[in-house]
Amino acid sequence: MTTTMFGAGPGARRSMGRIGLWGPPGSGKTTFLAALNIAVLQSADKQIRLFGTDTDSTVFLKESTAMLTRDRTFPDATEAGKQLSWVLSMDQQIQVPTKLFGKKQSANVTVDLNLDLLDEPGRMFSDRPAEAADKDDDDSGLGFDSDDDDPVSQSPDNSAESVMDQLSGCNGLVLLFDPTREWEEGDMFNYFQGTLLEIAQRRMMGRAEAGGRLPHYVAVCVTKFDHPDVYRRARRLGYRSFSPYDPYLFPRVPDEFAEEFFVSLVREADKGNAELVPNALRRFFLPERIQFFVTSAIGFHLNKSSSRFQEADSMNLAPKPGGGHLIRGPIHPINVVEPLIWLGEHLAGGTR
Amino acid sequence: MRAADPIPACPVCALPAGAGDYCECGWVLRGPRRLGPVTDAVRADFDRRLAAATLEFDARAAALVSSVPGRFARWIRGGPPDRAQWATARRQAAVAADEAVDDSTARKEFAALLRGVAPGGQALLIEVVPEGIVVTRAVMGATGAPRYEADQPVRPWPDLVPGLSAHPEERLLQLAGGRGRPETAELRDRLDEALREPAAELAGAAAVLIVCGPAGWTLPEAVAGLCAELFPGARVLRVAGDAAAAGTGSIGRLTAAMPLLHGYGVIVATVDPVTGAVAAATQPLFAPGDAPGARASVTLRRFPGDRERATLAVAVDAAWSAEPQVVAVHTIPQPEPLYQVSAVLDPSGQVRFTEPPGIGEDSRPWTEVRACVPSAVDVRPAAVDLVCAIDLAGSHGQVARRKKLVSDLLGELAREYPESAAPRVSVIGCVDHRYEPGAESKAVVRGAPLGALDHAVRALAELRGDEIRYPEAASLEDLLYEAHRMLARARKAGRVGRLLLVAGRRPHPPALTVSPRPGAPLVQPCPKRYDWRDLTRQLGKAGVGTVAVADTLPMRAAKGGFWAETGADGLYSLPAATAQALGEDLGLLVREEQRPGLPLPALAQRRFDVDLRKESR
Ligand SMILES: Nc1nc2c(ncn2[C@@H]2O[C@H](COP(=O)(O)OP(=O)(O)OP(=O)(O)O)[C@@H](O)[C@H]2O)c(=O)[nH]1
Ligand SMILES: [Mg+2]
Ligand SMILES: [Zn+2]
Repeated sequence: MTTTMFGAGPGARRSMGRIGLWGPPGSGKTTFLAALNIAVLQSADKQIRLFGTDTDSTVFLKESTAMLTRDRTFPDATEAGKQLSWVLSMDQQIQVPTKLFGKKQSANVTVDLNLDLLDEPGRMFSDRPAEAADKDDDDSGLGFDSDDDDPVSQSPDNSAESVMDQLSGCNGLVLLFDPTREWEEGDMFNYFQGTLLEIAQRRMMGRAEAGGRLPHYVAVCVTKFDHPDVYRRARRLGYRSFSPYDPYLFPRVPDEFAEEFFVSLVREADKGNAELVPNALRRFFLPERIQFFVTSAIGFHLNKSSSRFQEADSMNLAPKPGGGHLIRGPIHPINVVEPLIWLGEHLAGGTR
Repeated sequence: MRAADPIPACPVCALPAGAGDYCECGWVLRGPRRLGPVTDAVRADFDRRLAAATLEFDARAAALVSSVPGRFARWIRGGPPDRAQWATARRQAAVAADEAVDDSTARKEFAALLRGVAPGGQALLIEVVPEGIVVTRAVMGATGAPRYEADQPVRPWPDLVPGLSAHPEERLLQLAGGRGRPETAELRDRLDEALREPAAELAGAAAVLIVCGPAGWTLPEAVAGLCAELFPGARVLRVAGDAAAAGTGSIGRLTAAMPLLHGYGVIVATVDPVTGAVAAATQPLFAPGDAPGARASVTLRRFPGDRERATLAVAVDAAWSAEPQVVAVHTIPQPEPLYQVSAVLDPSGQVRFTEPPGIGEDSRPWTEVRACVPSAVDVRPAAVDLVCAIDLAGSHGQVARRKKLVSDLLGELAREYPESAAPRVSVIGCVDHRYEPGAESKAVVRGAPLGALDHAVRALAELRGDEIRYPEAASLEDLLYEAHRMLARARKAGRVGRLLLVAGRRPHPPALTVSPRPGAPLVQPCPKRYDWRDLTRQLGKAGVGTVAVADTLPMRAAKGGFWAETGADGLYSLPAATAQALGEDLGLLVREEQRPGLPLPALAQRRFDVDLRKESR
């Protein structure tokens, strides 16, 4: 963990945070990251910027943007972990003490969130990594066939080991859950438990953290909100809302209901026990450091003939010749940058 | 002429000499008294004058019997006449036959008389001809066609006038008024007796025509006059004619050669374009007034899909409502979709078919034929607009199989329909919707609008297949939209709309639909928002029959959903579908069990051409 303060006045820069990305295979990790640049560019409410700190990371930004927009394709299943180093820079108001005994004042600072992101193959996160690797062939129930044709090309046990090490060293975690996969596979909790146990084992060894829990800030992202099966449930269950500031009126699930929505979603699966995830999270992390988000990397389709979201024609997926999916049109990420901002704000706020 | 006759007779015409100075024939019976003795010269002069008078008398009759000089010369007393004498005789015969009418006028008069007779009523035709007297009763049928009952025997002249010569030629001359007249004293009584029976049967309902022929003949004219007295109000017609011809076979000649009072028509089956109800109608063959010997032909159609023999029934063309009055029942082979039947009208209203070969008498009576005609059929043999809609996406082989089925159907239609009645056909095909920027609004339907069958065949050949770009759905709703556009107004235009859909996948929904079961396949809505269900229902409401062929039929297709709804009038899997079955379900080919066994009328479809021109603009 590196949190550096460059002074405290307006214009000050703070740099902090390694953020780990976790999620079962096909939960949308790589897509989430790929959409981040576009989400940043489309984001209107904050002054935020995203740039790479090394060539590889900059290339990923450029290429993934082109992939999602020009090629309209999803990333291939991740084969080998990728270390991405980005800076998410945002202007933020923070409370700083001005005098020794004075009241805290708010100040405008530019916060640079160092995103040292780990995009790992999801199969690394299984409680039984080798077995999970075999299951990877049909990862989601959507027919999103993973192009992962060589799942055992590397030694899963060894790299899983190091991935867990890296994750446990992060300050913030982004956990991605794909509800559509849960309906098909029902293995979300298995993956989750396996990973959590690994991290808990590493971090808790010997030392007691606050409240006997892990110190991480955890942004739990329910992915693929745009997927009709997910969206329709949000509507049916009454979680859907619209932001009056969104000119396209894309639907959202407010963050305060995100967890509830997550639970009701995974309850509809006839197998698995994903509804245990929130409780397990609270067992290992501080409840106030957990926030659920309902997200979509590609967002809803915007019908050309109308200037705003139309439910009847909202699916942004198109079948890919030979199987799998293409992205139908321009993407409109939902809640992709927000979890990172949330993490950045809290890491900067420094209640640690 | 008996020698013992106390009354002196006229030496020329043999009539009993009356009280007057002149005989009817013009011979001077009592000339002014001559002075002096009857000298040889006087006697010779008398003989010469008498001879000239008898020659002239007989020659006139001979000229009435035949215009050929010398034909009856040996019967002319003092004959044969020289050229001048024969010319005089011809002139005199012409004067005698003056104001006579010809055969055809006589028939027209008789036809006019018959038209005034109500059904069930009778008319009497009395023909006074060289053979004798013939009485024919015409009984008017319910449909206005008379039936002639000529069963009364001919009364030969010798029965009426006993003194006539036994030699037929001399007798003809006597009838015409030559060779001295036979005794006619009992003629009236005998005539009375001969006509009493028919007169009684007529019961005063006087529609009597007396035809006397050849005109100018002394005895027939006299008899005709007497008849007219017996039947007050009867018309007398004097018919001119060459007696040499008339002398043989003139009996019944008038009725035998009577023109038709009402026309004859071939019985055809008509099909109501909306209900499919079958009705019998006639296709005109002979017109009223057509006389024996008349030739006529009529063009007929076979029911599309029925190549069996049809019943060729001829009926009196009247305003018959219940049962036609059928005059002939034949059967005819139907090797061609359109064929011409030619017939000759034989005497007594008989119809004899001359073309095509192979027409034979039907063993069944009309009532039996009629009983086999179904009251309604599924086939609509005229004015059909057919849209063949094909999913063009798929493997080359699969698309080819779909096209082949449509091609088979069009081939069958080309064989079964004459060009004039062929359905207007449109062949359209669709490729997949592509959900990518810029491609969504692209038209996916291609093909040709409604037009002639051969156009459609060419359009079908030109339809190229494409690969599947959206595996879950085909743009069938766009096909339905185009079909609806072409067919929705067919009924108002008096045409029958039909749709054939040959496809592999289901259509896109009008809006994204999400099944309550998560993970169920999701299908993008049609970019044009066409609604297959709405379009299918509208087609149904517009009376458009739809038949669907699916590459494979899902089990649930029987219960409902897209295939059940679009296949409302017929649903097949591609391997099981045949052109014949499709044609039957589309109402383009007659079902075997619904064959009426009668020809169809070959109506000229003028509207067809007009519409076609409008369509191709
Ligand atoms: N509808 C929808 N589908 C998505 C979204 N993001 C990802 N997907 C689908 O999920 C599949 C997997 O996404 P990835 O980003 O490769 O998931 P991952 O977690 O990186 O998978 P691994 O690398 O195999 O662990 C994609 O191929 C898409 O089909 C999204 O925002 N909406
Ligand atoms: Mg990945
Ligand atoms: Zn469409």
